[in-house]
Amino acid sequence: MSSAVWSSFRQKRPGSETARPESKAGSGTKPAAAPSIESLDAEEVEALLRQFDMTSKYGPSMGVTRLERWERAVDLKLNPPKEVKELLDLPTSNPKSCFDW
Amino acid sequence: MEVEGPASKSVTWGREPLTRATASYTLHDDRFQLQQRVYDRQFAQLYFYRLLKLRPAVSASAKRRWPSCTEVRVIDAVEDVDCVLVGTLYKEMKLKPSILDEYVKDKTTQQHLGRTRFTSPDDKLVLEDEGARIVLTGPVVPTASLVTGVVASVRGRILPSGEFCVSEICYAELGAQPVAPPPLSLHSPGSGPQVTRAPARYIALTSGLGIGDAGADPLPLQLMVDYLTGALGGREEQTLASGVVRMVIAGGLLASSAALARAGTYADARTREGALAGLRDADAALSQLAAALPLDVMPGEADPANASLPQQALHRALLPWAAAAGEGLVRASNPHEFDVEGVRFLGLSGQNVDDVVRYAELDDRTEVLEWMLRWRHMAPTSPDTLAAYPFHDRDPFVLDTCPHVFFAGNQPEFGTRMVTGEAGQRVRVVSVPAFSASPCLVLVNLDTLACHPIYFNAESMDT
Repeated sequence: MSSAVWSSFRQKRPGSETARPESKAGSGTKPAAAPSIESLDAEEVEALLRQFDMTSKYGPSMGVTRLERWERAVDLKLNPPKEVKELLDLPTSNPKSCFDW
Repeated sequence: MEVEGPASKSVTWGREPLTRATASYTLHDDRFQLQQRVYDRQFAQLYFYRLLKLRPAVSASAKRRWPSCTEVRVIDAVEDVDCVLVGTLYKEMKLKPSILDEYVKDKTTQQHLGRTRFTSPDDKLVLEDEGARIVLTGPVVPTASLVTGVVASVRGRILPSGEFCVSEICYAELGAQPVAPPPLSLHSPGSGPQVTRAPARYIALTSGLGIGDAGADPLPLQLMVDYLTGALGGREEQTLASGVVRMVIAGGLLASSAALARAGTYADARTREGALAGLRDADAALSQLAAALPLDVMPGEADPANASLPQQALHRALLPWAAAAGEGLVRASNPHEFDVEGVRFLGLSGQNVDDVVRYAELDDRTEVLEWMLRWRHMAPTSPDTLAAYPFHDRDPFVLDTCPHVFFAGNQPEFGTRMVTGEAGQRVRVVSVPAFSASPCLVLVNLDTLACHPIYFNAESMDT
């Protein structure tokens, strides 16, 4: 949740664009250069969804599917990024949180 | 009532038959219904939702009281700066039974077993939000009258020891109340001359019938059924009884479901019949009532319904005669929310109040219900000590809408008070006693929200 976790997590992601604004933890995923959803491969999709799982602003991610968590965030007016819903609509994306298996 | 005279000349008693008053009814139990049941989810989801749902109201309450103070997250709070924190309270109680105590070799820690209250002077309150938690200290903190699960806002400063010294505390307070129908507002203080509508209409509340107990006296229950069906008393009592538009049994139909649980599929016919005897008696009593007036039945702690809150409605097969009877039996969930002529009722079977009394130094049940209205949550101790379903997308116990009447059944005695909110809300709080302990029927006047008990004590019958 702290900035240290965010920056270390960001470094792990392959091919990340540097144009991402250095914002407080909890800003969610927002690809600044916005590559189209179709151009991302499975690994990048999973990495972006993992970022959504790790964002504590939307609550604990364990035990709920990513879609349920996204819909709850919409219900609580937390404005989760719409890209996450688009990524979840892809057949290759894992519906469960990265902490569940 | 007409009577055929001996000379075949009909003689009337000169009085018209009384008809029962009617009132519109709307059910609001949707959020308590469980669809698919997933039990392997953690309760962190429920606590997160509760905090997010109540935080705007608590923050607004804090802003109204302490406009000059800024609200910060617990993790961002700076030492020795006056600030406001909002979070969920957790009460650390050393006497609270813990599953880990089974593994403790030292038997002296078994002293807490058999207690009915687990508070001690050493209890500490901890405030937790999504990021961090902090211990609350100071003489202002009302530790004895707070429980785990309440969302509150505290003002104070962090001490060098890392604890938060509280100077003031506030809660979400009462929510928005639906607009009262015209007769209610006419009776609020400060309005014009009172206009009474004849006859007065009532909702009857009772709970804890405790049917199936072999040693119990069946007379009080039969007296109550006769009273409500108009078979008891003179014209005055019958007029009063005809004003009862609906009856609600707030849990506690059976004395115990242990016999039902024991008689499994392989039990012999005699055990099965014995187990069902209590249920059949209850069904018979309810069918008499359901034939006379609209009836709502909520499940209680000892009833054959699920153990965790929200309890789902009793199955239709358990009450076949009552379900088929005339006026309509509503098998309601626990908690139960409904509207009668625009007056919003919300009630529980009492497990929530009993649990708060176990973990706080509060004895007056109506005071506990008033606190629940002010905390804006009807079961704060769930899921910590009160079993609850692990919701993730809602917390149905949050009191978004403030009711006009808030009641809890199966309490030790009758009690009532009027709670007023900051925005002019007025709530009639009723503590409905268990009928098997104190045979009482509570009548709540729909127009004035006045409430009075009718006792069916039969002890004086014995010489």
